[in-house]
This record gives sequence, C-alpha cells and structure tokens, in this order.
Amino acid sequence: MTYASASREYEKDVAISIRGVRVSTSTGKEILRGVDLDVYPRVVNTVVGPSGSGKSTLLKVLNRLAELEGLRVEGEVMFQGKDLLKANPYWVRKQIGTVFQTPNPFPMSICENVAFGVKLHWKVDKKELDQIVESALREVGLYEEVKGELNRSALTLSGGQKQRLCMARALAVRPSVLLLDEPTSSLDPVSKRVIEALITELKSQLTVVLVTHDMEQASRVSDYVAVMKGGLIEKWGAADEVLVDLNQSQGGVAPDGRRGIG
Amino acid sequence: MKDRSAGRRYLLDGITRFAGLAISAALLLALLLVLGYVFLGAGVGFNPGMLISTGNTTSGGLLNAIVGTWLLAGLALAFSAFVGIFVALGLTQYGGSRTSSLQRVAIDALAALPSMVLGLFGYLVFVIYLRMGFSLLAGSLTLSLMMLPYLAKSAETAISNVPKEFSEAAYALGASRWQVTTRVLLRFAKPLIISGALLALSIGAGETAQLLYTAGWNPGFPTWFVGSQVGYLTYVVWAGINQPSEYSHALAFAASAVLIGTILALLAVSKWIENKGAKNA
Repeated sequence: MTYASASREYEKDVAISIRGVRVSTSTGKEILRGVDLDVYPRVVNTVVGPSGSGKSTLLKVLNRLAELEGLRVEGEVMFQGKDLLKANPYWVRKQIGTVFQTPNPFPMSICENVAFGVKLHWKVDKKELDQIVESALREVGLYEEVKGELNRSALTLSGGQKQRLCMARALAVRPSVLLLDEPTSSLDPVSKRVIEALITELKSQLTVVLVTHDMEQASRVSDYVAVMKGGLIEKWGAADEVLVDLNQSQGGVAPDGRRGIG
Repeated sequence: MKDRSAGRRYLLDGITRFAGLAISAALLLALLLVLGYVFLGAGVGFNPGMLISTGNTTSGGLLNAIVGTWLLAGLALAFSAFVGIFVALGLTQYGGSRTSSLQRVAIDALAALPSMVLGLFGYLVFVIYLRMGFSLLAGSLTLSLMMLPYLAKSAETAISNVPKEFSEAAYALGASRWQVTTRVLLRFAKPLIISGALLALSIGAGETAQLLYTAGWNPGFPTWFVGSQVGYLTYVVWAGINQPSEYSHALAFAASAVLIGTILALLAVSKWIENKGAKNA
C-alpha cells in the first residue's frame, strides 16, 4: 500500500470496545481489574482519575506497549473487527498513535522527526516526504512557526512546540486513533491552550483518547468521559453528565484531590 | 546557635580538594615524564627517512612496522567491532536475564585473561591448528579476542545510555524491534560506540605479547593474510632496545614515539567524536 492510498478506517458506532481487561505485573500485582469501556469514533474520549488508578496503563494496553514493559494483559479489545490484543502489534501501533506526557522528539532535525514514522512504513520519495512533513506540521499549526528551518534540531524548539512536533510525528503515520497521555502536564498555560484547541480540531479527522488529571481541561475538550479508580472504570458517559455528577459528588475537586488548574 | 562542626567541615573540604588536585597533578606529571622521555629519546637519533623506508630492528626504517601495526589492529577491530556490537545488543535488547549474566561473566573473564595466555591460545589454535602460520590473520584474530571485551562493554554502555523515551517513541510509531535497534539505538549510540572502538584500536596497536606468538616479524610487507609474517612497532621497541647498537636504540625510540603519537591522536579523535555526540543529543 502506498502512503497516498492509506486511509483512516472508522467504525460507525464504537471505535474501540474494551471488555474485561485485566493487567498485572510479573509479581502478580493487578493494575487494571476488569475494565469495560467503549471508545467512540471521531470524538474526544477522556479518561480521568487519580494517580495510580491505571489510566496510563489503559493507554499502554491500547497501543500494545504494555507487553514491552513485561505486563500481563488479559481480556478483549475489539478494534476494526479484530481483537487488538491478538493482532500484530506493529499494525496496532500504526493504527493507534501515541503522544506521551513529556515531549520526546528524537535528537534529529524537525523534518527527520516527522518523517521518522512515515519511513518505517512506506517507501516515499523526497518530494512526497516533504509534502507529508509539511501537511503534518500544518495539521498541528507548527508549519508557519518553523518553515524555512526544518533542518534545525528539534531540541531547540520550546516545550509546547516540541509536543506539537510529537503530535505531527504521530499524525504523519495516519493513525485512526490518537492516544494522548497527559499531553499538557509539562507545559505552560499558553502552550496548554494551543494543544487543547488542537485536540478539539483533530476530532474531525480521528478518534482521540485523552488521559488527564486536569478536570477543567476534561470539561473543555471532552465529548465522553470515563472516571477510573483503583483499576476500574467507575463512571462513563457523555462529558456533561459525568462531569456534573462528579462536581456534585466532590464539590469540583478532581478525583485525585486536586482542583483543576486550567 | 553556633555550628561548631562548620569549621571542621570546611577544613575537610579543603583537604579533599587539595588531595584531588595533587593526585591529578601527579598523574599528569607521570604522563609528561613518559612522553618527554620517549620523545626526547626519539629526537636524538631520529631521521625522517625512518618513516618512509622499511627495515629490521638494526637497520633501515619503520614503514613495514607502521603499516603492519595498523593492518593488524585495523583487521582486529573489524572482527571485534562486529561481534562486540552484537554482544552488546544481546545484553541490552534481546537476551533474557540469565543469558545476559552468562555473557557478562564470559566477557569479564576474557578481559581478565593475561595477554600472554591469549597469545599462546592464538599460537596453538590459529598458527598451528588452523595452519595460518605467523600471519596477519592469526595476529589480528588473536588481537580481536583482547579487543572484544572493551568493544562489547563500551557498546553496551553506549546503547544503555540512549534514553528509553526514544525507543518507546519509535515503538509507538509502529517500529519493529529491528527498526528500533538500527534506527534509534545504534544511531544514537554511534558516537560512543565509535569512541570505544578507537580506544580499543589504540589498545590493540600497543599490544606485544600476543603478536610475538602469532604475527612473527617481517622486514618487508606481508604478501597475504596467511602464511606471510608481519612486522609491528612494539616488536621494534622490544627487540631494538636489546641490540648493542645506537641505531637500534634510535629505531626503538622512534617506534615508541610514532606509536604514542598516533595513539594520542586516536584518543583525541575519540574524545572529539564523544563530545560532538553529546552536543547533538
């Protein structure tokens, strides 16, 4: 398949159906204790919960990074008609992109960073690659800021720009789902707003799963919210309903005890 | 309340700092003395013709020994770099904990073997049993056994130093294990691997004992990989100084100076590559 013919595939009702997922460490400690959750297509699905509740581990199940850390995963995760846990992990990671908490661009140029994933999966000529890099950088609103210096080291960018570059790097592979693991927690408020605006824009093209501590952020960007506690999904539904319920029961305090810092 | 121990701690800090400086100065002095002794000694009977003519340890020049040294060390590096990088990858990426610890024990044991013993092994296995004779191949294979632990250790450190986030990011983009190895780990570990290789090369170039057993001596150039003996600089140093002639002594000093000069240059290049890599990271 060529890069041009690669298109994002969507399920109509549910993008990812998670059923009975349990994750344990090699010492037998259970991190997820039977998670059931539906991830809806082309919306922002947010998972909130206190530290250690298993939010990030749930993302590692979806992109199959859990097994690289020696975690044992059981259950069923249906995605594009296949059980994702039994599918080829490289295919899964190509379909489900990830942006991590701390921006982690490679010590290469801006251009090479965006091209990295593309070159793993497709044979593309220089001209096509330049177009892909430009369009991915435009998608995250970074192109105008860095055009003319695409060969500059990515490490010279600001924190917010680095995180947008990491998003562009993930998007360039054309995933149909993007996992965002607390993507703004290490950023300043201005960069945080830029990324949030980007998240709401991205949902027109793909399914977003966002993990966050920040309840204000969850209320600003989410369409659906799941609340995790102790390795289980405690509440799950439309953002308005779940967040209102949560506000009423906890007086506006985030499940980890912090107030949203927006 | 007055802190009574503050004065004592300040004094202790001062003494420690002074001791550190004194040890560094003593090391530097020892190095300068050796270098001064060798280069001054070489200056006495040196003539530039020694560098461009071949010879034995009593007459002629050093060209055969210079070429032989770098052929032996270079070929040994080619053998050991290839194996060393694979061993390092096995230790860091592909091995289970049991196989990794077994490999580590083997590498440590190899590093601890006296070079005389490695030489004897090379002589019995490569020279006699495999019928290579005193030759470039027998010498470089034996040298590579000594260089392998240095290379494997430095490559292991280099690969382990690549931040985990980079390989995690590559996996998350759909890279296979092999792609992560070649496009992330080896790519970002390259400066440190090269600097370790240059260090191993300089250690190999300065080796004598193993080559006495495996390379022989040749007043000219080796004609083939096997069955043709090789001259090398450390042999000139060892044999020349035992000859009752001033010219032999001059050759021995000149060989030492050439060897030390090139090794220092290699170390400088290795440091430069390491620093350049650190700056880019």
